[in-house]
Amino acid sequence: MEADLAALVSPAFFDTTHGKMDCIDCHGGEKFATTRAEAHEGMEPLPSKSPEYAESVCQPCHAEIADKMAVNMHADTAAVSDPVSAVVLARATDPEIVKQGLQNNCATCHVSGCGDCHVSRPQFNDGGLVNGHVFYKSPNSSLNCMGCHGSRIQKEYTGAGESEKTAVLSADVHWSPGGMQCVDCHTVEWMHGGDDYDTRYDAPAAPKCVDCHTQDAAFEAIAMHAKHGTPESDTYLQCQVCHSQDYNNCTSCHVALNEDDLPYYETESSYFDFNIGRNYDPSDARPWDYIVVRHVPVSESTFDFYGEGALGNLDALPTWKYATPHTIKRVTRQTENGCSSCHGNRDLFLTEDDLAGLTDLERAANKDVVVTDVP
Amino acid sequence: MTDRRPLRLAVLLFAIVAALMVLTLSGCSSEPIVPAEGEVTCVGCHTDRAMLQADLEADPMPEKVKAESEGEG
Repeated sequence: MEADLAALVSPAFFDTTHGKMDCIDCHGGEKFATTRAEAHEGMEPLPSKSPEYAESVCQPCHAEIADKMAVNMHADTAAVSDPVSAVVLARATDPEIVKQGLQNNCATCHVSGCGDCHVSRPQFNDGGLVNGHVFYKSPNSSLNCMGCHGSRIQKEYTGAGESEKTAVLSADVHWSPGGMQCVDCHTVEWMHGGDDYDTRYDAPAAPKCVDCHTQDAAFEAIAMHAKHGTPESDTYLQCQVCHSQDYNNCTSCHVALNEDDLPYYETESSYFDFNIGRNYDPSDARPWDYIVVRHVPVSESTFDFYGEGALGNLDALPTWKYATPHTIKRVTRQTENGCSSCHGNRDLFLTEDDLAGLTDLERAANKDVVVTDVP
Repeated sequence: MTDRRPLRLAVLLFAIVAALMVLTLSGCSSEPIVPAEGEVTCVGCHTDRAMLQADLEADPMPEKVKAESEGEG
């Protein structure tokens, strides 16, 4: 985005509530000046910058949101990068090495304040005002959400991915023709958070298919739903097992610093594929027998730049993990030919064949996920 | 009938002096509300694309330095 457009304020802004305030009320700086440097002295371009939400300029008017935003996963990314609670630490045999990598390479993705969703493109994506500084309640799916969630969610949801196993991947039916925006499922209650939970799937307000698609008589009138779609089913399947197209998987991400001490990463590969695995961690929220699993980019050598062998407990968690792909479609290669689409079709399941060539540690990591007897 | 005009004038003068004192003590009287010649305001610059372009052309923003990553993050 051109630098002038990124900072250009529209006349419409001055008709809004925020436009009635003085610029320096939020941004500081000098009201009158003869040069840009003079005008911007003491100026804060991102006045809602995390992690000080509760002390931000937004707080006096939006206290209910600002006071709890700092614990929201968009604000602190604790599950990804926190030195105490990051999920990857469960795999660590040398936590101190892993923490260095987390600090340098993984703690950079949190949003840069309220403005990242409500007035500009995310700073992670170089920012720039979306609508001439006019604030908006609902983030724009393409410009805000997908500004960060571009590699998995955008490709999957808009049908931009390519798979060797499926000739044509369609957009998720909720996006096209559904026209549903991210916030239609990922509601404001979840986005603004305030609840205490370990992972995004544990959030009380996390979206669920059954929020809209109730398991009622009409649902159960469909033979496949009666067979596999209710808690009373002999074999209960996560909805995506039947209704997800291929989705993005990544392998072997390595993090490091370059010669100028700037962080970077290298991912070995990314590819669209589909795999059904056994539910390795059943719970009330995830009661299914089978789930879809996505390969996550961790490997034993992910943090080798900081010290070799730091992830000696790679097998503490699977590397094919529970997934909720954004590639939903009614008819998929799992449903198009009825029962025989899945039954006996090893290609749809995560089997020992998929683990060929992996290290013993990674094979062990997925022992509870692999399907040994394909139904 | 008593002529009360001097009293009213005194009250008016007192009110004016008091108002000026309040403005002076609060600092408002010294804060300009319009830019002096040669000065611009935040709004004056950030609503004028031509002015922003000219300013950025004369003094480009520093480039953000990032390390190159490979693959999907």
